[in-house]
Amino acid sequence: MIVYSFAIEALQLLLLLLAAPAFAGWVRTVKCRMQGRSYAGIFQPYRDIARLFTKEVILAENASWIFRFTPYLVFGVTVMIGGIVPFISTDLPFAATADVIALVMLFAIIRFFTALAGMDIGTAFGGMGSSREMMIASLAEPAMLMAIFTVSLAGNSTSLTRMVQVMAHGEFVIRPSLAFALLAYIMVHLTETGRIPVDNPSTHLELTMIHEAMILEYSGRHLALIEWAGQMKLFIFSTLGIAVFCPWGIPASNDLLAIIGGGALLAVKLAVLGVILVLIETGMAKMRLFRLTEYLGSAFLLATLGMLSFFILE
Amino acid sequence: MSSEGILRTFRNGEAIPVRDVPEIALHAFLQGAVDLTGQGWRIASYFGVPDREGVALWCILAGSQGRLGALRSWVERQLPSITSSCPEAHLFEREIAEQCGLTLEEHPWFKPVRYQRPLRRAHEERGSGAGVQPLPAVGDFYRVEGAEVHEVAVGPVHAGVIEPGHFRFQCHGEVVFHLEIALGYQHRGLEHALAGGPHPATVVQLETVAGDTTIGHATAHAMIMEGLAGTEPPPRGEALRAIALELERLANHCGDLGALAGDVGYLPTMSFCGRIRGDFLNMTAVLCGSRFGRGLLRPGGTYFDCSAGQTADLLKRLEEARRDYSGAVELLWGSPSVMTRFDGAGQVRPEDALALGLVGPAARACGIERDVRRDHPFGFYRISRPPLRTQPGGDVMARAKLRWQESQASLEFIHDRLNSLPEGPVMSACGAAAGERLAVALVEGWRGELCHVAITDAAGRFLRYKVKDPSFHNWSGLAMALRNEQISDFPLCNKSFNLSYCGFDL
Repeated sequence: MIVYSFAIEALQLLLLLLAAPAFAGWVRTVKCRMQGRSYAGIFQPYRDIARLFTKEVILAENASWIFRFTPYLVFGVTVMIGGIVPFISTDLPFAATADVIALVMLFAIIRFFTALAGMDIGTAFGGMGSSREMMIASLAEPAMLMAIFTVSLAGNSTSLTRMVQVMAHGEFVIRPSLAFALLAYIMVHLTETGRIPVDNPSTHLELTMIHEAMILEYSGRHLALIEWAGQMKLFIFSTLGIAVFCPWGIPASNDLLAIIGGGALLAVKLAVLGVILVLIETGMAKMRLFRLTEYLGSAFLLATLGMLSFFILE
Repeated sequence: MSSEGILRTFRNGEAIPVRDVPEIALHAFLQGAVDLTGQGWRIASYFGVPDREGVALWCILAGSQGRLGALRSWVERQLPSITSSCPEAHLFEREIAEQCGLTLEEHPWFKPVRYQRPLRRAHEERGSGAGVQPLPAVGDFYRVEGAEVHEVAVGPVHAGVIEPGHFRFQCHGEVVFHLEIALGYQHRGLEHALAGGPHPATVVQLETVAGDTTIGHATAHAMIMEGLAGTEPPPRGEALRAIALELERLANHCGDLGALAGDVGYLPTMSFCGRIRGDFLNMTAVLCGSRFGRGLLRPGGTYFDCSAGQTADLLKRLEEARRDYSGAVELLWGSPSVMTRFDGAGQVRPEDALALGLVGPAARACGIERDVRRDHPFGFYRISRPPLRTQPGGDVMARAKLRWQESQASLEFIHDRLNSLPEGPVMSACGAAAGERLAVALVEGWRGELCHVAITDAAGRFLRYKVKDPSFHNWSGLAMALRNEQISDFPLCNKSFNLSYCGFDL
């Protein structure tokens, strides 16, 4: 039985690795369709990654081990997080090893090393990107924790598995607190995955970039790993949102048929979520950098309101 | 007490005998330039011509009531700088020093403009760095000292596909204290190549001063040649030139509005305007077969006529483009997140704009009424012209709104002209250029006032042909706009000016 559940865990990781570029490709395709442009299809990210893997790595002369190590760390930790979030089944052996707080911490490790690598080469852009990223992190992480805590209050646990089980298989209750938490989570989602209105994933203007500025010096397989990890991060944040706020259909057992059904439902949910993401992105401009404090401040406030309303109303 | 007495005044496009501009003493020349710029005149062009054992200095001033003025003096090796009392002379003085190998005493920021070789070969005799061409952006930059001040260098190779230029920021965190711009990477030796002309290649060379201002520079050159030859293009040719110039304005304003939207990450307008810009370029192609209007203008008129069928086609395309353009721009104005981003970004105060002598939309967006089409009308604009528009504020918002207002005015103007094209030929024979003449042409290109000046020798060849793109004035405006601005807003401010690198580098 143990072997079987590890096989399911492996299946989830495989799904994460393979489906993440497709999801990113889907978001880009919808975005292009929305603006009347044509696009290379949802499989373009795979081709990009494959191309980058065949390219030579150009390293700056003064690059230290941090710079070379960071892409592998980012990739590895992202896959690890993918093992914790229960999106094809709640009966995952890894899911029991870490709760939400550990999950946020793992994201912080990625961020810490990316910021260090950004400063490692010593270019002005890398340093600017790192300082901006840390400013955003200090505001986004509390908001994220607050939003998830609100849900964990309902589940009486910070374990993701437990939260999903209570939400999906427990008694259905209308919870106003979750509405607040969901709004906050969406705002944090846009921040963490570097999308408009916080960052522009497709910009090539050196001075406005945040995430791209930190990874500006990367090339070849290093860049491929970082890009791939970025796509997985988008995938994980989306599936985490689905798992916490809309978990219906995630099977509680490792019955293969239930997992296939749950997987199909997940694909539909992700497709819809992709469209919602694009709608937000298309209808808005990128914010001025120092307005982000207000934006993330309101995300935190919404999450706090969610928590308060849990105690008052539920 | 007015200093206008020392000026020889004339009209835009007119050629006057060189001897009508008396050579005055250097002191009177400089004092005159300083006084006149304080009395409503502004420097349209200021350059040196290697002459005898020294350099003849020419200053072309643009005044009110359609008057242009010329001042001439002569200097051997060095002259005092007037930049401190007349900031708009700043880049002109540096250019003179670089081109003619002169030294300017007490110039506040004396360094090369384009890192080019001096104009004349006689430079070797002067023995100052003979023959060695300096590399662009090599040298000292303005520095702000302090533990928390850091320097950010951007370019000349940029992450996007744009022209090369080097930007040096002095920053405190995200705030910019000072921006210095170093250009010259695209210097092609244009003015050097033009001397001794007009050659058969001259028109083509001037069409490529700045690719996006092909019509503007070609118009100015045609005016120079017509002035020197004493010919006048036929009315139909004048009308077609005006249509082409306004189409160029439309295409670029439209592209800029799209690019502004792209810089703040507002994707719908970016995508739409990018496409609609192509529609306007295609309309120019209907006229002459080239999307940028290459080969359309020639001294004497236009090389191509516009048949009834073409006119109908253009009117139909214009109507379609107007509808799409309005829709795309209304999306932009209707989006609060874009408006907060534009509002207050990259502000230039009107007094700074006046002192730096900004031209074109950059000046009009500071509420300054300055438009060559109205102030020094040329060609068809003597009869009819689009209304002058200004916007208060001097920020990115004002420059964006002004672009849309000017686009509307141009759409209206083109529509009217196409519906009432004068009959007759489009080209009249343009004879040989007269000798010993000074000809000046000002044209309101889409970036603002561009100025061509030609001085001919006894045989009617160009002794000097001076080209000034509006970017020459406006780069200083961009540097001012960035003061105390967030560095992350630089791309947005830069795009709101959208200046030419190659037009500056010549």
